[in-house]
Amino acid sequence: MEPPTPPPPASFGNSCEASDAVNAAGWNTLGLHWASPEGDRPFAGWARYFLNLGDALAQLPWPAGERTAVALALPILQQCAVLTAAGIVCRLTRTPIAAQPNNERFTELAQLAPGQPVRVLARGRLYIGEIADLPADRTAHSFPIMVSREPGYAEHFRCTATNCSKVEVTDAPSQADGRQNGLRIIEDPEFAMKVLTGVSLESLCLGTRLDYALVGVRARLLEEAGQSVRLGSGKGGLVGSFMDLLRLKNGSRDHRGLVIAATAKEPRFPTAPPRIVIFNGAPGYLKFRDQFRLSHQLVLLDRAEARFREAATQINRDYLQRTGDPGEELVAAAPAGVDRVVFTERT
Amino acid sequence: MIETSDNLFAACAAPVLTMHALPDGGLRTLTKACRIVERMAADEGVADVVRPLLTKVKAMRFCLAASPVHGGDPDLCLSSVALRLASAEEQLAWSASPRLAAEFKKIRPLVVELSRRQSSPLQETFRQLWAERSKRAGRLAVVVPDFGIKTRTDAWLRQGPLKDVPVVLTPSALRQADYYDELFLFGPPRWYVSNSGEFVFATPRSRVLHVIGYRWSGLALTIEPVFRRAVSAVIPQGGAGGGIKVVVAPAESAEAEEPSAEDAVDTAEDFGFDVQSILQQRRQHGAAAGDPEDEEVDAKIVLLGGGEAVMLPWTDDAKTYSADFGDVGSYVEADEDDEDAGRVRRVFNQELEVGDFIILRTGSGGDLLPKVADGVMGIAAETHRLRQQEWKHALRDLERRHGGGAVCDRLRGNGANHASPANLRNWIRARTIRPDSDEDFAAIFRTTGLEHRAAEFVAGAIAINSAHLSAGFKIRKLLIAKVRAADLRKMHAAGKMEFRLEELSNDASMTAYRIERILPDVVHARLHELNDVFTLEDD
Repeated sequence: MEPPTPPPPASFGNSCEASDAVNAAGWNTLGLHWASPEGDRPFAGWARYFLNLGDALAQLPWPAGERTAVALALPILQQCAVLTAAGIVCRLTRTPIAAQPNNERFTELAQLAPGQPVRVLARGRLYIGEIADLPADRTAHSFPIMVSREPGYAEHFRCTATNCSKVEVTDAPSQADGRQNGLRIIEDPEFAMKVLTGVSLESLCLGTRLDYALVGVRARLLEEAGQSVRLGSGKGGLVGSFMDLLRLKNGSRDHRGLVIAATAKEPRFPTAPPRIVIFNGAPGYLKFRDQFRLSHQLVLLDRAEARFREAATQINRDYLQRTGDPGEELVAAAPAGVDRVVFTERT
Repeated sequence: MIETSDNLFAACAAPVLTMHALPDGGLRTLTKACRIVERMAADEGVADVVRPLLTKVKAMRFCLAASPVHGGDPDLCLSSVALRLASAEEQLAWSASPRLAAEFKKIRPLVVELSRRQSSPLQETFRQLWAERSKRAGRLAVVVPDFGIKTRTDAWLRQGPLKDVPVVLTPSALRQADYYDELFLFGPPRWYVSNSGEFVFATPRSRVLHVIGYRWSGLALTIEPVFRRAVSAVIPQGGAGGGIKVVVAPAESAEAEEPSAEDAVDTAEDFGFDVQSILQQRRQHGAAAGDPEDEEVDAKIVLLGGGEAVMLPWTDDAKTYSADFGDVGSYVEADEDDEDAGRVRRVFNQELEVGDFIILRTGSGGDLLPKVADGVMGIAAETHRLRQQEWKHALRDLERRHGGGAVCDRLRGNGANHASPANLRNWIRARTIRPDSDEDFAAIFRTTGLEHRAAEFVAGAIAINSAHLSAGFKIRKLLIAKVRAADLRKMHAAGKMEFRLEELSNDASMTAYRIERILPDVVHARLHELNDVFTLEDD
């Protein structure tokens, strides 16, 4: 039986240089620059390819009876994994975590007892308030949430069916007694909003779903994710970083991905499999490849790393066990001179 | 760093590789003569006798075929090699057949002839290319296939044959993601490819590569696709965007210059290392230090940048400080508190790779950790250390009087769970603070008659342990600060860099070394031989 071929991603099969200016997730990759005090540097074709690769990987069906494995032999790993993860998040942010109709959600929230603590996302910050005990202010279409009752700084959030996705029930104690500054959950909300054109910040920030896992040297990945990026050029451009978009697990906050340290002997693996696992280098792949049998996998190898051959041999062994050769759209637009392979495996 | 990535992807897409295939410089005849002798020695069953006699000649031949160094270079000492050959000839006259001895005698005149040469075809071509290229600004580097040759090339360049001295690199140095405007590589590509250096050509660190080598050594380059059914990236022959261009210099006899299959199989020997000889060097280096009765552990010999080596323990839990000099940015602060993450971190030895930088203690100040720990404990240090010595002395006395086996029996009788001669030696050693298990510690006090003072010994051990942890943290913090302030470019070129820790002690220092090679054989090393850097001698 022929294995099912994944649907071709919207913007693939194009060259790196021109046609992918606007990728499938709808954002302008050509407008992106690496920002630095010495001067901005526009994203080269390889950088845009990895954003688009993430976008395409996110569109592969999952969970499925088989997974897609993609491997690339690169001259350098710098930023490749982070860019792919950013592409994944930007695509999957468009899929709500809780596909609950707004009216239904509003009805449930409206039935909560006064005093029940809730998290409210407003102005890019997270507040912990409570359902206000103000019966006079309740209507059939809205109810008040007390964010701060401190005299002079009293603040309410009016919850409606339209904005109820910004409200979530929490076990944390209400902080409405004092004035709240709110927890900044996005460093550069304007940048994130611009990149995620048409998607609300709450879609990105609220709720936990493991869209991806990054396996590599943790400190290096975090540093790469923190690299300043400018959308647009010159002073008019918006500066941010991919760190905001990656929504990496950090303590108990909501997240969409996590980093697994390749250097750790016994890392804590997630209980549920991530949709896509990105191995950033041979050591992590060789060490933890068996931990992610259900996830689609992207293996990024640096041809100069010592265990490159060992990892390539392992990929070739897996290739022999493949269930199919899906269309090469996923890798056809990869940077020139980079060896790549794509195949499907039974999960 | 992003600029480097852009450049590396561009170089990977369209490299311009020029092969400079040069006529023989007298090396091929020497190579053939050596091979005939080796073959005859194997037939006569005296290969083990002949091999060491030829080691030096082959090393010199390798250097001359893979560097700009010429035979008459005083640092190469070819005259002294010729003298050794003369004494080897006498030795063989007694121990080998007349035919073999006669063939062996043919080698010395060839070496003498090479030792008189004041230039070489490789050198002349390099000088010419350098004169043309260095007019343009940019980062240029010379690449040789092995770090032994690097040392000699560095020495030759320091004599001032060129106006601007280029940096000399080995493939392990090129593993760092760094971009050069032009690279000048010496020796045939297969000498790099067969030594895990395929990336030098497959994902080059420069868009413009010059390969300078003898035509007979075979300058062909074949890079197989990495993956089965890969969408491959084979370097094209010629072409506008990039590719391979072969420049063949005229030879006296084209036939004599044609590469043969034999010439292609000598690589393994040239790169071979005699583990036993290195082990012997290490034991001579540290003969006076340590206890010959020391426990033996599995270890591997790691060859380091700068022509040095170290024996690292090769057990599941052995760790070494490693530094990530991959880029010039700074790691996030949160990770600097984690010993196993960040720019300076402890990594499992079994996960170390060629090209990694490890940091080893090198100062003459002895083991830093106890010294710094004593500083942390302040005036209490002396009391705690004396108490520690007291129970260790008592235990050592018992072992001397009754033997390790009998003491272990007594310890087990007194409740010890892990009493074995090896563990006993470990507990007695000054560097061990205390046994891991409380039961073992208590059994020591019972056996040595110190049970009534057990509480003060345990308290002392806790204080020392805690001070050692603080000291480790302090040293690491200091190292991170030093690494941040270091000129990493210099370090990449040299393959090592010393960090002086005057803040801790006048003679304290640690040195970051790039790993050039990890020899595959696991050897049995004594504890005092581990982590101690020694210089690799030529012989």
